[in-house]
Amino acid sequence: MRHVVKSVTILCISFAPFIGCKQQAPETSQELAELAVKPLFIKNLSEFEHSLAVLDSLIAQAKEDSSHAKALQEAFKHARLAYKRMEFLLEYYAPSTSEAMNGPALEEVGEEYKIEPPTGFQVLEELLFPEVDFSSREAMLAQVRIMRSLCKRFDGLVIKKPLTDNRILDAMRLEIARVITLGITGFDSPVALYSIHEAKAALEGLAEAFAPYTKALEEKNPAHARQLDTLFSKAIAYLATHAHRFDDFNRLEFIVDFANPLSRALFDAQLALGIPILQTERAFRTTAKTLFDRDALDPLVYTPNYQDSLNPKQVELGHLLFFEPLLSINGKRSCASCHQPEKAFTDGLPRALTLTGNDKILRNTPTIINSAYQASSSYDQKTVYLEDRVRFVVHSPHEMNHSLDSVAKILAQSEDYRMRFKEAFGSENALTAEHIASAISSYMRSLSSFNSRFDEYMRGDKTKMNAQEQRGFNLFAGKAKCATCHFIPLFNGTVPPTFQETEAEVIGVPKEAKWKQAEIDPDIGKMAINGIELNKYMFKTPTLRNIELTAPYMHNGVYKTLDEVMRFYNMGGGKGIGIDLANQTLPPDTLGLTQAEIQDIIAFMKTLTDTTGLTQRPRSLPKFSNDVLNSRMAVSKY
Amino acid sequence: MVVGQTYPIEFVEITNPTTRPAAEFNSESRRLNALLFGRVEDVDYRKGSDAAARELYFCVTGQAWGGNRNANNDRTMYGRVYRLVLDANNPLEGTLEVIFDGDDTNGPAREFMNVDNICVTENYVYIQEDANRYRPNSGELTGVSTVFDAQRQNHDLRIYQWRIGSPTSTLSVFMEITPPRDGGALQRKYIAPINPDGRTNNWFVGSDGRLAIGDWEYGAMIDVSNETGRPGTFLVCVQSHTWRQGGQIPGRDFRNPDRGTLPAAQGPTNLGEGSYVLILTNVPR
Repeated sequence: MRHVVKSVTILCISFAPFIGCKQQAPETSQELAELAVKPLFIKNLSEFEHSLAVLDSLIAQAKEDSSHAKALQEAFKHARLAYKRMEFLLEYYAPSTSEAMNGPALEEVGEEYKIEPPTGFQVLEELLFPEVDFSSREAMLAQVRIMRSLCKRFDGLVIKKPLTDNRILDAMRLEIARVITLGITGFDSPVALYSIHEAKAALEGLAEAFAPYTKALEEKNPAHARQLDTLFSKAIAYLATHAHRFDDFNRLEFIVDFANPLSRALFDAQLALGIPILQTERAFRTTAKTLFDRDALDPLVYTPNYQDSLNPKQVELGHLLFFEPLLSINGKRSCASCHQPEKAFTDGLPRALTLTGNDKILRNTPTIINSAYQASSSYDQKTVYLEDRVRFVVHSPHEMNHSLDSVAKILAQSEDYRMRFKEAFGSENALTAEHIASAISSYMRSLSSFNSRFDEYMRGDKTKMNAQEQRGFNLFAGKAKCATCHFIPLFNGTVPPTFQETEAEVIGVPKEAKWKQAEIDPDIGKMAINGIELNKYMFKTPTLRNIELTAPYMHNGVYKTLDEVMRFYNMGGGKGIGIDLANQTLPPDTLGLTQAEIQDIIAFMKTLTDTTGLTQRPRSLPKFSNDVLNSRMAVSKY
Repeated sequence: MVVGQTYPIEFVEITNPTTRPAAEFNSESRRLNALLFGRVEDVDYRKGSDAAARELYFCVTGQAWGGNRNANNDRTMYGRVYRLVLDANNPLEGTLEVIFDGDDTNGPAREFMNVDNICVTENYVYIQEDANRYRPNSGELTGVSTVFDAQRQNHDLRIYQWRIGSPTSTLSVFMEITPPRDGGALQRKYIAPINPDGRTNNWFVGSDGRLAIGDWEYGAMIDVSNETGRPGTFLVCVQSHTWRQGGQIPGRDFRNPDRGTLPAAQGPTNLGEGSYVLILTNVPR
């Protein structure tokens, strides 16, 4: 009997109850990943651990003078480079430990609403840069020792794990996406800005781990092997040449001319080597060659249930329901009343009117284009799935003041609707509250597009952005630090390249557009949901895609123009206009952008406009036999 | 799933588990339509015979509704206890049943506060609660009425006892751990007003300056009757989350006690809390 008990225990530890896992001999013992990549990793890990040991003893012994300060900073940088060399493997096999090692230096609210203190490199970085804070020696030591102890986890998570070629090559393409989105943007080196050097170390780590595959590739396709060699060395050389100036680094050129070609060539090499592409459901599809492919991102990972594709009948039905005024209690408002297709599904108002028209709803109407790509929706992140978002809007006393159950009963009076639900969901009596939410969510997920001028430029069409827009992107992703919250390529708060989390920030948005002695907008954001002071005035980072069409801006619509928005950020957010919040997550320093630079960034943001093919209204709504219902206003009115 | 009803279940294989990173397990469970639970926390089997050992009990702790993984409220909030009975001839099949449902406001488990660990003996199930920090949701903001119920949360954390086979209404409170709240020396010892990082520890202390209800939780309860040779002897771990003083290094309390020499099992090493283990005797088995 004992063996039965044991096998169940294994099941529960793997966090997959009701999923069995038969132990099989690893099919990988002969793969290069095991034979060549793992020994390399073991060597690099030991070098990294050594670099931490050096840092540890330096911190413990350093005298408080400038030469020791300099030595400390250099030892920190050395450890960073050692870490970056194997980052692709650590992030792949040990994401939580990587987060503890190199996560943002901000407290976070955990699963049980516990406040979790940050650990690792970035906490240490704030103590070492720009000047070494010798008074925090104990805090520095604590961080280094946490990191040293974290290293021990890699034994079980990576070294004892049978590595496979398909995952190593997958991890490499993810790392290139990480370098593009979190590396060269300064995301994980916010004070030291050592980012370009670190990007170089990350690519060197990949080149080194790919070397065994190059040999295999040479036998099959020598030209391809040489091409990859060249791409690696050119990308690394480019980073080496331009590493010294963070602000001036030409990110666009690096991504389009070096990083993307490298990512594509790695994908093609995998096919040439006969290594199957990994099959797993993930936001950044394993089948995408680069992060900027048209279909690189899968919106269906953010659904409550597994789906392998959007059901077109459900999308079509959702399209009708989106324009259906019977979703509101007075029959006069549809989703499209506020989410108007012509304005990229916004309404041009700071805040929409309530259903009765006597007041305004709490927050600015957001675009719903690409809203599928988020791990949580609504400004205060109270919902995870779009399905819940629909439910909240329909049930909100200020918005629709209805209930999905009642709406289902009303719609069921229409033969046409009943038929459409039956066809879309494949069962009798399919017209239910849940299916209404599902259908509308499917329609919202269909409003996904990556065909802006920016996207096309990233895919290699260099006619799509002019010189000013190109400068604007480089500022956006560099000096202006925009891309450290509005992450490439979604430009919302969903963090690449795993896209599993959507971030929220405290930036200090004022009640009125005043530039000094401003007052904070009283809406407390996430804190209203979880009661946690740390989340006071915190709001989800919205997308910047289609921003040209979605004025006014901010969760309360306080700014009418992008010039005002940029002015706010350039002053350091709330802090710069007289709003002093202890928990502001936006760095409070001025960005030091010139007027010309601000205009460049705005010009760039306008390359993100992309609504083609998404804005159709239905020609007509389903018929009712009931004349009163049938005479509801035509769809063009909503 | 409805309380008291049994449902047939089967285990489905995830191939090549050793080569997969954790994220793939998640996506594979979705693809294979696995049952999703709101935080499976602990499992134990009934003791006494081979047949008894095929009877497993597990706790699902639950997740706050709104703003996290249970946002659509399709998972338990206050926690559930399930019984899984494996088929004698095929351990990959069996039946599943909800024994206790903390979300059922009229049920015997209506006072559950996030049941967490579970200990099963020959005749009893012991269910241990976990601290939750649920806050009322604002109906104004969310558009639906709150499901938070302050009354049900108004106790320190308990271990419940249930005799297997008896009506679920016989579920009883076996013990409740009450931290010192009298303002005396013990309270000063066990409730640190200042966190090791220098900030006021207002998280654990209510506006009246007293330790909030239900902030200490249980780690595990295990039967050590055989080890001690004294039938009915059990160990219970208490995570006294507010205990920050009394460590070996003055001024540093329990923070990072190993000075970074041991591998961090989970999360940061500097949680900084003290905890203790109780020995219980004469516990019915």
